[in-house]
Amino acid sequence: MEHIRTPKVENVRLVDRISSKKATLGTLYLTATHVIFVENAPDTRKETWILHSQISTIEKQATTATGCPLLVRCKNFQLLQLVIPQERDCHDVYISLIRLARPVKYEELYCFSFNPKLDKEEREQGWTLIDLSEEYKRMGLPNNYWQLSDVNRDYRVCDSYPTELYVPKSATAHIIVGSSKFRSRRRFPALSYYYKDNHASICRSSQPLSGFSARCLEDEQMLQAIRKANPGSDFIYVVDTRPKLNAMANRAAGKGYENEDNYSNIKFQFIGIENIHVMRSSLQKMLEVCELKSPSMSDFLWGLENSGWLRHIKAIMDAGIFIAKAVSEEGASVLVHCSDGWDRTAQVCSVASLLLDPHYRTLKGFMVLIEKDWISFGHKFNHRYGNLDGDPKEISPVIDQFIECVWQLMEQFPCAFEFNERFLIHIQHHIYSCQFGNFLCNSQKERQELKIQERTYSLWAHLWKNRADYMNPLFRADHSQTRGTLRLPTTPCNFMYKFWNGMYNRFEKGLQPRQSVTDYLMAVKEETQQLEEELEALEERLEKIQKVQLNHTKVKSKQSEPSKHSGFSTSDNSTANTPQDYSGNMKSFPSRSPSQGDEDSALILTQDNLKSSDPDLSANSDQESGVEDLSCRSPSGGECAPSEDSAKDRDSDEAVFLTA
Amino acid sequence: MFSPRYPLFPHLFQAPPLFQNCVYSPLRGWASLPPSPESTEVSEEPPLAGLDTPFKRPLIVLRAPQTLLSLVLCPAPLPDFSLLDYKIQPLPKGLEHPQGFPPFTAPSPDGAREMWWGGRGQSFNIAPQKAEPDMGLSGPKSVRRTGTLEPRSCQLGSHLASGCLPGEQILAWAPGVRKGLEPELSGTLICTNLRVSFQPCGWQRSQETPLSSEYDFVLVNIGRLEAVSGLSRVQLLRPGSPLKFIPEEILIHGRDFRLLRVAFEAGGLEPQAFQVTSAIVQARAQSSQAQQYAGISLSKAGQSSGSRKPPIPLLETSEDWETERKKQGARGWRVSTVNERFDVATSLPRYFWVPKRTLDSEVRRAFGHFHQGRGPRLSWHHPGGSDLLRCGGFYTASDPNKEHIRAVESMLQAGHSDVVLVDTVDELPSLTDVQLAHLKLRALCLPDSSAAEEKWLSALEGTRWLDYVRSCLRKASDISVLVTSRVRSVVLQERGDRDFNGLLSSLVQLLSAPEARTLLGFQSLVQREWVAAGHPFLTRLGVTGASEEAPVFLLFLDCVWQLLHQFPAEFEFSEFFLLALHDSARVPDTLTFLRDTPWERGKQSGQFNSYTQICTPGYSQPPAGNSVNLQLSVWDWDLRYSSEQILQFHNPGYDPEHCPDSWLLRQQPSFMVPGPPSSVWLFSRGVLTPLNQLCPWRDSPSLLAVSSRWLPRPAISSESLADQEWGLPSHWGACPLPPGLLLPGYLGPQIRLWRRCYLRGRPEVQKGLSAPTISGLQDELSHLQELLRRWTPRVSPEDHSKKRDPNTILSQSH
Repeated sequence: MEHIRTPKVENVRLVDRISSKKATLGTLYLTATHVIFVENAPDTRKETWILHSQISTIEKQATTATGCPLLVRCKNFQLLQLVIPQERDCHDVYISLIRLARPVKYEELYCFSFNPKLDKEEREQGWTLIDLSEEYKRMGLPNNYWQLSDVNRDYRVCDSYPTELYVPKSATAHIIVGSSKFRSRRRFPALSYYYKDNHASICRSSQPLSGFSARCLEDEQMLQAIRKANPGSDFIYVVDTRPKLNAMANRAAGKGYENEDNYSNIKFQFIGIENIHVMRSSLQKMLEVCELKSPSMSDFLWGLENSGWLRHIKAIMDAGIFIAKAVSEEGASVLVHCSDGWDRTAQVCSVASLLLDPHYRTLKGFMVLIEKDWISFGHKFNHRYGNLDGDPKEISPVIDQFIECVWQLMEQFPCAFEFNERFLIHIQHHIYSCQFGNFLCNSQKERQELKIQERTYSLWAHLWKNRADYMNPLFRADHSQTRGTLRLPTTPCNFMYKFWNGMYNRFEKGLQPRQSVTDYLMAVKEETQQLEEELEALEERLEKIQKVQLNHTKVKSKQSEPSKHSGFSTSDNSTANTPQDYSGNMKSFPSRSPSQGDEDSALILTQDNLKSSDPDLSANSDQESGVEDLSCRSPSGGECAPSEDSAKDRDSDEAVFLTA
Repeated sequence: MFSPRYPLFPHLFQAPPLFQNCVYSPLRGWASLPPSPESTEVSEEPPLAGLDTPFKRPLIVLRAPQTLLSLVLCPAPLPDFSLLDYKIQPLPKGLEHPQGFPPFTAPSPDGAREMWWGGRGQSFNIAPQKAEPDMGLSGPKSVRRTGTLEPRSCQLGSHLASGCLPGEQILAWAPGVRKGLEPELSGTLICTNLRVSFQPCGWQRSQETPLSSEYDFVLVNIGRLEAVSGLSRVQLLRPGSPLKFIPEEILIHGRDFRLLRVAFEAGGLEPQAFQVTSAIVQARAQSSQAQQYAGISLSKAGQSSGSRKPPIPLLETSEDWETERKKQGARGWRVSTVNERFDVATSLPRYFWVPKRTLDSEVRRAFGHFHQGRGPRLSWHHPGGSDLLRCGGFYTASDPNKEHIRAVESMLQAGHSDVVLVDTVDELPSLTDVQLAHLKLRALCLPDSSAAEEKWLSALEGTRWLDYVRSCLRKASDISVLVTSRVRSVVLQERGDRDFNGLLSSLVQLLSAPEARTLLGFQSLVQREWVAAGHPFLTRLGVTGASEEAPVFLLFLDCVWQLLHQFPAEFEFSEFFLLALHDSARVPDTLTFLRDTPWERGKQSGQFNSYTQICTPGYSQPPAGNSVNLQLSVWDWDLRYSSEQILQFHNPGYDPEHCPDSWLLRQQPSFMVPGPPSSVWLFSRGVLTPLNQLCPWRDSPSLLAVSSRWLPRPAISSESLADQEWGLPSHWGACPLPPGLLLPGYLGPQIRLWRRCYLRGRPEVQKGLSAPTISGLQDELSHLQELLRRWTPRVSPEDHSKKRDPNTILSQSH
């Protein structure tokens, strides 16, 4: 690759960030897609793989006696501190990485070279796993009040919106187009979620171009139409998720917010969620706290508080709670917007939907939710997550915040979610990894132009295939607390929101609890299931054996020995692999289940042994199966000993062997 | 379990004197009882269609010329009152109620009027009546009981006995709804001279648990009382200051972070709400702080016949100590009986472990040179050969002669060539710090705490509590590394030897000995290192009101919780168990936490009977029952916890593969080398520095420092010893620690707030914390195992070999 100045540097030290004294010696490789560090230690040869697209910043520090330190910060909160002996090598690596981490064309992204060895059909199936039209059907649409509009066919009205949109039946194309002209970037009010129990809905748009006094009849009619689509309520809420000051400042630029006097029967509400720049610097501050070498209690707590991160999380949650309450308790429809209606609006709409509808708390439902409120409604993934080299001011952890909100909810309602923390972490990882095509580009239109679905794979299919890893063992769909709307206290209390150690410190193994209750419960649950199955099988077998014995005694009375023997072997055949299984089972009762005969598979609780279906997610993963450019992968070759820290996925291992 | 047909939560009323012979319903108002019933009959309540009532409720029917009143007595949750369901059949037309009470209006669908009411048994007179022929009363099997009917003595009396402890008196009560916790419960708030109890309707106090951990609030536990009326009127209730208004709600804040919030029923019941609130204030003020609720042990003793063994060895006999010593494999040690009469130190247990070679006379002499006579004793013997000792500070005013010094030294060295002296309080908070932090934490966790908003994190930091937890964990990990990995003997020295020595030595054992992480092992550990070692519980928990209050023990429990949080598979006990222990610290049902020293505890419980007998030969044996019930300790969990709750003490995540047996097998060779040359080190802030002398009084030539390969750079290290030893936390996963050793993380993000304990008073937090399905999963599992068990006997017993495996059948048939 032309950007790689040096493909391999030896005697590089990987410094542990908590204790600088401790470092591992190894070799650094640069490939077209990954940075790989391979430890020299002969017994483990532990590998650390980092996708270029995950690299957030590279920092070259002052050369010391031991070498030239290079600090690589990743978007998935991994921090790599390398010390390269030669200044020259360090510079080469630095320059190469700078370029590699900032691709300028979509084609450079990993998803276009990633090939999980699926055939065309499987890939297409993968893309159909999540189907939004199905989702609208599930909501109960279309119905008497809402219809699918083709006004945005070929993105004629709004290029950042999807083509398929639900609007009130009474909103004519004229009204929609008129309203869109009065809305920032022509993002007119469209349905995000429909609550079929009481016909209330959540709609989303961008800010109106109201300036100080402008009005638009069609826009007013549009809001009227939304209100009328909910016969149960005589008003709608209009929620501006910005702080009031920000919204007012926008008026000077000819934008702004709805004037309650102009729109009939609206209740206007500000909810102060800060803008992307505040959020970006807040995360920055929090990550600085995470980077402290040995934070004391006050370093940590003060730093966390001063970063304001949890306060912002709370603001988003509060907005979501407000909307969910309005919809479920007051039965009123809500129109949500911020400035352009693709960041805060997406956060708030999806949090509210999550609170309202248990479906979104399932594995598949959550994928649908992201597909609906984020991907289809034109959340600018490319800009926000810096997939391609662009304006750094556009970068902001918008969806990270949403994912954290979900985690906070999971902490408060441990039984309400079908998926676990790992699911969220993996989604976050892949939003940045560009390994799958789902989160590419800034809008559906761009994705279509790029023919993403024909050239890349879908993350949803990948996650779905490995869903066993993502199940929350505590999930109870029928629990009184988790059925229907999740009810959170209205009284704000900051201590409800916790620092997400599992996300922001997830590569600091030392900071994680070393045993995971979730894994344990999953193992127990699996074991329970196996016991159940086994019980059934055993009882069946017992019946059979008794029958056979009965036969046997009959046979004995009549026939000679050899024929008896044959009689038994047939019975054996009928129960397939009976004997071995059988004795093995008896030994393992009751604490172990048979399939977990090998000691380390099931009940190991350490974080290190997290079963990872996604090799790239562990800090030191084994390789992606589909890497095309393998020229630099020589060090481990095919014979790399499985390192203890990364539980391997059998399939990907095999794939590696094949490719190597 | 009440049927939905009845209002779920009956209210109990006592008719004011004016309205004698009346009954009151909060729904319908007053009604009169038949002035002179012509008949009274008692039968069983007819079964309700489709409903399954767990108990049969007695039905009383009163007949008078104008009224027919049927009353259903209910096995009440109240000890003193029965619930009554009554139906009044419509009066014949034209007849007015006597005494001008409003007639009942809304008849229920079946024509009868139904409602609930309650009252004191004596508030209306049910005179014994002659039996009357059955008039076709609804009720299939009416077990006629003629003659005297004494509801109070028959029905209510038994309730009283079942609910109240001997010597307990009910002072006031009022119906109300418990708020805050889910689900909201209707019931009755009762104030007695021992406790405040909220008894939900339909709940019946189990005979087995005289004090319910769920519904009872012991008076001494009450930290703050608030009466609330409307949205804004809040009065902090203090003894002496009269209640200024009729409370709509009462908030009882426990010193154990629990909160009881009861909203009183409106509608004529205000006097009762007022009464009960005032009664609680008064009772709280009058409650005798250090007094044990003797009634509990009495009631318990009444149930258990014969002698019972304490659930864990209470270490009050030398046999207990000997057993424990053997269990630890401390061969170089013996049980000393020198303090059998508490004449060496009253704060020490009667028995303790001293080096085998030391004579009791030497022990006595040597102990004299320590603060309050608390000389060096063995706490724990590491199978690798090192020992963990604890002792008080040197008694500086003593005038040691040479021989004494030698005794002191040999006891500290206990046969080891290397001894590390640890100044326990170094780097740890002072007692005052702990107390202040705890007070701040309590204030912070109050529901109306103003700090809880934007500044929650910094306010939490400001309590310093988590910081103290952190420093305890850090120091304990360092000592664990010294004892286990470096096989050094460590002497913990604290001036009083009764607070942080106990905390550190128990933490070290939890970190190093898997045995201590079992339920039994942990309880024995607390019994040994805290209770027997003379931690002044009474003073430290502030029951005496003395200034030396400092909840060191609660700090310890928090540390243990942190460990549990970081190593969920290593502990046999669960968070619920820690919570139970936390709460038990304030419950005066046993002497465990009610005395400062083993001596006082023993005095109280009469365990010196044998001793007394020696002094007064004529004294007869104490009654057997007495000595039985006095053995009750906090470890008798069934005093306060139901068997279901006790089941929850087990951590379902405990991995039995960490069983202590396998660990003990891997004993390392003993490093015990008797005699000089020996070296003494001082351990402080992660660094070992050689000490010239062990005792402060003079130089000891035998203890000159020798160089050691273990000696790290003398520079002050910011890293703890644990870090030095094991590199970094991230390295832990790969590097094999000594078997059984846990090294907890103690960086800022790793220390958590024990929400389930401290934020219990904040209902919004409770929601997420109740994950009922963990136990549900366990239930599922045990159910399956039960199934399997049932299945197995069918296969295994006599023809086990035949049926078990078709192969064997084959081979047999050949």
